[in-house]
Amino acid sequence: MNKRHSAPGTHSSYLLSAESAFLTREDYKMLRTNLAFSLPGSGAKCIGVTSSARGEGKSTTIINLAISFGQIGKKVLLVDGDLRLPTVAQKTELPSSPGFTDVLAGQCSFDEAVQHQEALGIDVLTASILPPDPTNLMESQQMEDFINEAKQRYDYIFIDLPPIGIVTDALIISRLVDGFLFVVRHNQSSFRAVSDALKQSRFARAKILGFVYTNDELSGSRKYYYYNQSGAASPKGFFSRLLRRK
Amino acid sequence: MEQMTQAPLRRRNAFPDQIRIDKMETTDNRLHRAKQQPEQIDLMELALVLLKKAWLIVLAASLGASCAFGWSKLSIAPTYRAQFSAMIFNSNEHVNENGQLSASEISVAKYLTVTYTKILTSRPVIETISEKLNISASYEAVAKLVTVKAVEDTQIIEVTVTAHSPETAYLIAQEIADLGPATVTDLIEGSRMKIINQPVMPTGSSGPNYIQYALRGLLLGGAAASGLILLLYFLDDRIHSKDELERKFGISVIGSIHDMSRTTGGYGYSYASRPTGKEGR
Repeated sequence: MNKRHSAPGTHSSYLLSAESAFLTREDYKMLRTNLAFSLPGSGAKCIGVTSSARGEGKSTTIINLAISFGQIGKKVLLVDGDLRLPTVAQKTELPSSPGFTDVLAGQCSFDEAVQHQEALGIDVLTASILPPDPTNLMESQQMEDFINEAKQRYDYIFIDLPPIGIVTDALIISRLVDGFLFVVRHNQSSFRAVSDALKQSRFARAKILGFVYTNDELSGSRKYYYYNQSGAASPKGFFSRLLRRK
Repeated sequence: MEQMTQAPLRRRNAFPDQIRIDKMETTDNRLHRAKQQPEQIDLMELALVLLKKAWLIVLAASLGASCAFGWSKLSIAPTYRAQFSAMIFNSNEHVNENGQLSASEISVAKYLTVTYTKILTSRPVIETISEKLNISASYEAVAKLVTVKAVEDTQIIEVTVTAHSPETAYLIAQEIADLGPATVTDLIEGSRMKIINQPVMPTGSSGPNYIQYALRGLLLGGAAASGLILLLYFLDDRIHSKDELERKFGISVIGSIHDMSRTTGGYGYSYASRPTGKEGR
């Protein structure tokens, strides 16, 4: 296994870390807990993350969720299964190859392809070279073998998948995963697109574990609580922040 | 005793596999269940939508009121009203011992008021007045200025002349008051019409009611803005809340990630950054 260690602070601000805002950390803790309860029973869990369209926060959500599980000592593998538009390598600041397609094509072994991201505390399998027809790879026996092998080594396997509304890759592996998390972005995802994607998942008999609602607004008591504690609403807090920045 | 307590347990676990299948609610089931629930419009939600855009409604209402007021002021000429009232009598009226008219006499007189109304706005009367006052307008145009109304439960009629000049309104009303009694007596044998109040020259305009126009503009502007906001709300296919999402698809939201651009920065509440003086509480 390749070990990578990025210097602290080089990762983007949207990745979960000890420096992330309290509310963000709480959001992922909540998601982690709810997901753990959604998949009862022992044994490794393989979870796919998808959405209805691009740009809904799918990859960021799955990376942070994997980090969140890693923080509680679980052995986590994050797989970039979006073989159309992979972003995991870029977001986790890892080289894109060797990776997932190399393993499926038999170009390298599982151990050679998996990279350990020390700063994030998780193992990552980036997409690597994009195949002309990713559907074939997803349907292959190698894919099934890969999942089975990963399940023997890890507690949680998270697969970042392309949006259901655009391509069928996610649904092809529905029989291999324990369930899907469906990412919906506030004020962006459309009812029609989500409805169509869910209809397709119904035909494929895919199990949707639940929605993950991204870019949510702070509202009600939580907004008051957060801002009150952070001091953002009071002039004193504002000035103290200015002073601290200097 | 032991057998009795164990019996229900055995029944509950009789078909464990079947129970597990029932509990595993598939996406198919949940979608089907969500579809079966009728679409409901939450009035509170609509009220909140309007409340959020209250500034736009107020702006549109103010704009509507200003436009309506300005338009009525600029394009509608003021009108003046001259009025007189008259009493009508039937020759066959019989007064009782107390010197009062019977109910049947009043009803006949009321019936005749309609006839008098027609007579006072008849072509011969109006044309005579036009000729006398040198009014070049057609009969229909002049007749339109005159309205005759019966006062309820009385034998009194009120004649109102509305014109764009106070003199015209007054002169027409005066001419009708002069010609009316004689014309009525000529046409309906034995009937009489007696003027109660002579018309007077109007001192101020009677219309248009600019405030009413402004209020109409206010309502129209507010209603148009509200309608547009609701139309855009219903046409908007985007998902705006978790509740909406759960209600529509019947699938739970198991995680909600807040806008990270607003929550990052490290200034959020945490147990490590308790306010000074609060330690150990």
